[in-house]
Order: sequence, then structure tokens, then C-alpha cells
Amino acid sequence: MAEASAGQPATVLDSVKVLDWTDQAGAYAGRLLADLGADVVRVEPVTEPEPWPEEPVPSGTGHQVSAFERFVNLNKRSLRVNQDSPAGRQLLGLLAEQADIVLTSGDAARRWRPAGRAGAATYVNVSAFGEAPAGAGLLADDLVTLAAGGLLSLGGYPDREPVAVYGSQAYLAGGISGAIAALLGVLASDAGQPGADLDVSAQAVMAGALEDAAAEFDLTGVIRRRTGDGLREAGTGTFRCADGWIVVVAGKLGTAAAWDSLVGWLCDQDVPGAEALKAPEWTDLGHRRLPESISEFHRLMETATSRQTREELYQELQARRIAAAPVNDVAGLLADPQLADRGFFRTVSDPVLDREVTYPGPPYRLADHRMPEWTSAPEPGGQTDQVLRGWLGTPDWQIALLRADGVIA
Amino acid sequence: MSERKGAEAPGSQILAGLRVLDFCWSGAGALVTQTLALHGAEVIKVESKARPDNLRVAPPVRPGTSGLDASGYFASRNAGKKSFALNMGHPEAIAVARRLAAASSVVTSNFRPGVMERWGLSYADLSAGRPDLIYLTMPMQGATGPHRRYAGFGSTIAALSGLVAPSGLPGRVPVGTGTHYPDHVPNPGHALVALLAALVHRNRTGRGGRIELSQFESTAGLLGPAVIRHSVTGVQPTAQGNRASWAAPHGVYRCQGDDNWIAISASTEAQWAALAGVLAGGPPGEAAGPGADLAVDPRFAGLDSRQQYEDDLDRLVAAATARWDRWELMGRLQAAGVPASVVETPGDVFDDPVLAARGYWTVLDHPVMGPVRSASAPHQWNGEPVSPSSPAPLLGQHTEEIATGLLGLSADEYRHLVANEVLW
Repeated sequence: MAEASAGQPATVLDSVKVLDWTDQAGAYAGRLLADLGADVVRVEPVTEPEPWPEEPVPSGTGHQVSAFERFVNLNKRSLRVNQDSPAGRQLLGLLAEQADIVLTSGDAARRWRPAGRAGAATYVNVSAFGEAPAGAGLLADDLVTLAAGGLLSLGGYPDREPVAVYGSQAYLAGGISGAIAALLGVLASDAGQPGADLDVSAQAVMAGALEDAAAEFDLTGVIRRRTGDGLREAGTGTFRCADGWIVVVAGKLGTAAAWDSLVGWLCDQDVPGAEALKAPEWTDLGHRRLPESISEFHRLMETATSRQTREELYQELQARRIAAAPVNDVAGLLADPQLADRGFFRTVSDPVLDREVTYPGPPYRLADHRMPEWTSAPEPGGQTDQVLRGWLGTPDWQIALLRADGVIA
Repeated sequence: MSERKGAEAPGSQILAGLRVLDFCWSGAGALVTQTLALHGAEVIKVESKARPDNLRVAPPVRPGTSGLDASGYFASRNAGKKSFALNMGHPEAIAVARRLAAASSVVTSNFRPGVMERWGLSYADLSAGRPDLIYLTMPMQGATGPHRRYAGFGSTIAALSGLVAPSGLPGRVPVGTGTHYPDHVPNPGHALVALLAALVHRNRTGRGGRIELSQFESTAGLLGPAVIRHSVTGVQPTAQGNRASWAAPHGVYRCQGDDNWIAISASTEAQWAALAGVLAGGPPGEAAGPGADLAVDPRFAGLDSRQQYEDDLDRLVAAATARWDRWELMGRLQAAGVPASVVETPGDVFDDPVLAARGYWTVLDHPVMGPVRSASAPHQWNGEPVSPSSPAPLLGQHTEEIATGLLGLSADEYRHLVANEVLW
């Protein structure tokens, strides 16, 4: 959070102020900045907002809140202001003048613009198609964004419609790119440039994340399609085990040693017919891509994998230097020994949920910098007065007046 | 080694003057340093013919081209960098690498733990007398812990992280994104956030430091909402196809042509009414057909009811969309206020009108591959695209320039190191 504790070294983004007027499509940007020590203040309406629908959980008082919302707003503060009143808009303008970064997504960008640009802040807007003229006004949610950026076309099964990846990935990816843009903007203002306007398109983020498929079309004209449960080659794929699924990569991306090691493991499992994989033609990737090779390998592999649990297979195959991993559910993730050893999961006391809640740790570790203590995602308006005093020096009598007039809550 | 101040380079080229020594290879790391290069940094990629970056030998290649400089995959994540050929397997290479590191502000790598240390290129080795050094490592499962040496790829990290299990159709093999997604989005993205924040801090205080990104932890972090929900309710996500609890229809529907699809999401009654209205009219110039009665069908009045009859709903919507050209339908639905997009293929994204208007793709002339369409940053900077100015380097393209320039080697010394397969 904002103030560095006395005697402790500063956090990486100590003294960076962020005004965060985002919805689901951009809120993760501010979360990432808050984790690194920025003072991130969410702008929320004075009226009761509709709860976000993603990952619904009951609050302490039984109404619905969104676990996605609790996740992306961790470590932020919250201010409620009447965004449609002239006094409220003036207040937002004053706050923006104090900010280093103004983050917007959803309706906020369009509603903000008429107020004009204030101060030296970097303005970052995250949207599905970008706010540049061609994309402005186009509507999207996570699914539609994944479609527009091309990633959706690679997911799912050949015999069915494309299937989207779980978990609001377009929103999170847009947020990550928003944070990157914001930090580039701060580097620019620190170097003396005027505040920049950065317009992030989540469609563009996804179009840049199509692996080798865009290059394949560009160079060869071939359009890569979803392969789903069909293996592309013997050695790589998802295989049924006693309690779920395991992923193994010992094919194109794996090494020759990994293939030999996998064949050795299959033979050691006494799988009838596995010895045939030792024949020289199986070391050739072309042979391993023949449909009959794929189907034979798949049969032999599942004969062996179906006898053991995903965790047993993970440890056994990794011991033989084969890139394998269990297809974890959340319970499996929480039980992972590596994450436990590194103390990855944390608990945060959440007043809205009225309980201790488990969170994954930050995505990186900065050994030479102080990382802030975590505080729960705020209740809407939980820090309105504190923010007005801290950022604007607003006296208490004026805060009372603004509240009485319905400008803040 | 003098470095220019960023202030001299206006606009998006804010990292001009920043030198990055880049040991990253393969997927995730290369995208981190490509973004730095896009914004003006001088990225020196250390690589070698003795053990080429595996992307240099990965498809696709343009028909008729081959070799270590022909991979489109490599080109797509190394634009704007310099290539310095250095055979780290040769004992004389270490000293060269250390001199390069001493001249650089940022050192990046994504090896397993122990590799940089074995070469004497650990943070402790390089930061002595260099408190401003920023040092990024991206080990698969982190530098410590019982699985720190485990092997993996983007697809295995995605599975381990819990992202794959709930992605797919109920009752079928879980499929995830169909790509090595962690390599393309969360891991380079999170690493950039940390690296750029560390740069802000260094510019303000003169202090650098270490950044360790465990690729597993970085991807598992995205499961945060599911972890919280599980923590509160004990419920974990399961594969639901494209369905969502807050919208119906919320799915992907066939359009005219071969394997053509549109994604549609109607989360409010107004969006549902608008969708039903567009579909009821049928495609331009055609009579009304399937879908004509969607708006008045009592099964579809209200979200709860639409979800109760979602199989019927999806079947009828699909029958209606199948008569439409996908782009025409997207345009009509967007104009009517319904979130919708063509499910663009990796070919469509090059023709997408919005991306084109943003100047997202730029053509770079590569000496071996010829013209290559390359991606810009996903952000526009003050209304302008941030595009790469030079294509991915040939292996060792900049070795001589850097050896005789930055490192100050004589022509004889340079030739000696080449002949001995050190600069190789």
C-alpha cells in the first residue's frame, strides 16, 4: 500500500499513484502495480454497483460477490464518487492531476474523455478492440475478445465448435498489457516527456499470442486449426490415468533422449508390444506423425498410464527427464509439493467475504526489493476519506459537505 | 560504457540507450526482450551455432528456404534484436560474456537453475560493484524447491497450473488453449511488468536487483479467482465448453463456409432481444428462416429460462447463424449492440480491419525469409503504433560489430576467437 513503513527500504513502485477506473477488462493492471507498491485507488460509483458475475461466491452477509473481483482488486484502495455530477467529475479531475497513471477500461474511457486531460499522468485504456477510431464502440466480453484475437480458433476439438480457455484469460492478458504500457509511460514521464496516452487492444494482445500459427500462415499460407484430443505425433499428448489426465511432451519439442527415455519407461511397465517402439523407424519424427503410429503409441501409452495416478506418473516420468505434468484441478494445484516448499499460497483476511481466503502468491519474486504486505481487496468506498485527505489534502468539513451533497460515499 | 538518456529519444522509444544482455532462448524469454527492443533498447542476444536456440530450428519456414535463419517462429519473437554468436561451451567464451555483462544494464536468462552460475554469470558474480544491475531469470519451476530441475514446456506448465482441466467440453479430454499459452502471455507479460517496474525504481534510486519468475507460479497466479472460490466454497471449476453462468447465448456458432464461426454473448435482456431481432430477419436478401421465432419463444424469456433450455437455444441460434456470412453477421450484431466477433483464424488476423487500422502489422524485409509480417506492441502510443524497425537477426549477424566496437577487440583478436569457435 501507499506509505512505506519507517526504516524499511522502499518498494519498487513506492510513491507511484494510480487512479484505477476499470472494469473486468482492465482491473488486473492495477493489481499488478499495487503488488509492487503503487498506491492504487479504485474509482467506484456512489450507487450500488452490479456485482461482477465471474466466479460467484457468497459474501459474509450472503449476497453475491465475484472471486474474480476480489482477486484483481487485492492491495487497492477504493473511493466512491458520483461520476455523473459536475462536482464529482471535478473531483476526479483533481485526483487525476495527482496521479502518475490513470487506468481505464469499459465505459470509463468514453466518460472520462470530455473532462479532458489533466496533469502529467500516463493515461492507459484497456479494451477489447482498442479505442482508436476503428475499434471504438465495438462490444466484447472475454469470449468475444478471444475470438477476435484468433486464440479461440486454436482451442477445442476438430469435430466441434472452437472452445474457449477457462478463466477470463482475455481480461487478465489485457490487464497485464495495461500494466506494461503504464510502466513504459512512467519511464517516459520520468525522462521528462509529457504524459502519454496508451491505448491497449486485448485483440492485439491475443493476435500476438498465436504461437507459430500467424507466421505459418504468413510464410506458407497454411491455416492452423484446432487439434483438440487428436495427437499431432507419437510422444506428445494428453493421456488418461487412474485419476484423471497427464500431459507428456516427448515429441517435436522434446529431445531425442526424451523419446528414448519414454520408450524405456513403457518397456519397463511390461506393456505388451512396447518393445516394438525401439525399432529405428520410431526415432524418425515423420514416422511418429503417421496416423497409425499415433494410434499405436496412444494405445500403448494409455495401457501404462491408466494403471497409475497422475502424481505417481508425474514423479516417475520426471525422474527419467521426460517433460510430463498432471492435468491439475484446483485441489491438485493447492497440493503441489513444489509450490508448498516455496510457500507460494497465502491467506488474506477478507472483510467482505468475512473469512481468511487463500490466494496464489505474486507471479515473481524480487529478492532485493521490499514487497508490500498484502491487504484485502477493498469494500467500495472503504477509503474515500483517506484518499481525499492523502491525495488532495481535503479538510474534514469539506469531505462532510461532499458526502452530504451525494458527491462521494 | 556510456548510455544515452531516454529523454533524448522521444515517444515510444523510451528505452533507447538501455543495453540488455539476453541469454533467453526458446519461448517465453524471447518475447520479454522483444518488447524491450520494440521500445528502443539495444538487446544483444547471445546464441551459438554450437547449440542453436531451438526456435531457430522450428517450423514454419517459407517454401524454398532452410537453415538456422529461416524460422518464422524465431522471427516472430526476436525482431529488433542483435545476435552475438558466442559458444558458451568454450572456456574462452566466459570472459567475453562477462565483459558484455559489464557493459549492460540488464541481464536476462531462462535456463534451469545452475546454468548461469556454472558460467560465473550469477547475479552475485555480475552485481559486484554494480548495484544498478537488473537481473531477470525465468526458471520453469523457480530456483529453489524439490522440482526446480523438472523438465517442461508451456503446455505442461498450463496443465500443472490448473488452466487445462476446466478448458474443454464436459466428458472429453481437456484441451486448454491448444497452444503453449504460458509462453506467449502470462510468463513474458509478468516478467515485463517486474522488469519495467525495476527499471523505474533503478532510474529513480540507482538500485537494481534480482527478479526471479517461476513460470509455473506466474501461470498458476492466473488461477487466483478459482483458488479464492475454492477456498470460500470448496467448488472447483469444471469444463463447461463455452457456457457461462451470466449469459445465454454465450457460445460459438457456425456461419457460412468451411469451418467458419462467430462468438456471441448476450448477458442482458436488451442484448438478447437485439440478437433475436437480427437473426429473425435472416441474412440480407433472404427470407426469414430458422430463428424467426426466437424472440417470442417462451422457453427463451429470461436468462434463467434460456439456461434451462440452453441446448435448444444453442441449436436454434446455430441454425440461424449458419445462413449468414460471418463478417456480415458480426457487423449487424455489433450495430445492434450485441457483443460478437468472427472467430478469426491465424490467417484472418492479418486482414482484420481494426488491427489494420491500428497499424498492428508491419512488413519487415528479412534477408533470408523475405518480407515477413511482424506484430507491433498491443498498445498505441499517442495514437501511433509501436512497430519493430528491423527483422530478427541472422545468427551472429552483429558479432563482429559488437566484438570490435563495444568490446574493443582488435581485428586479429576477433579473427582468433572466430577461428577457435569461440565467437561461433
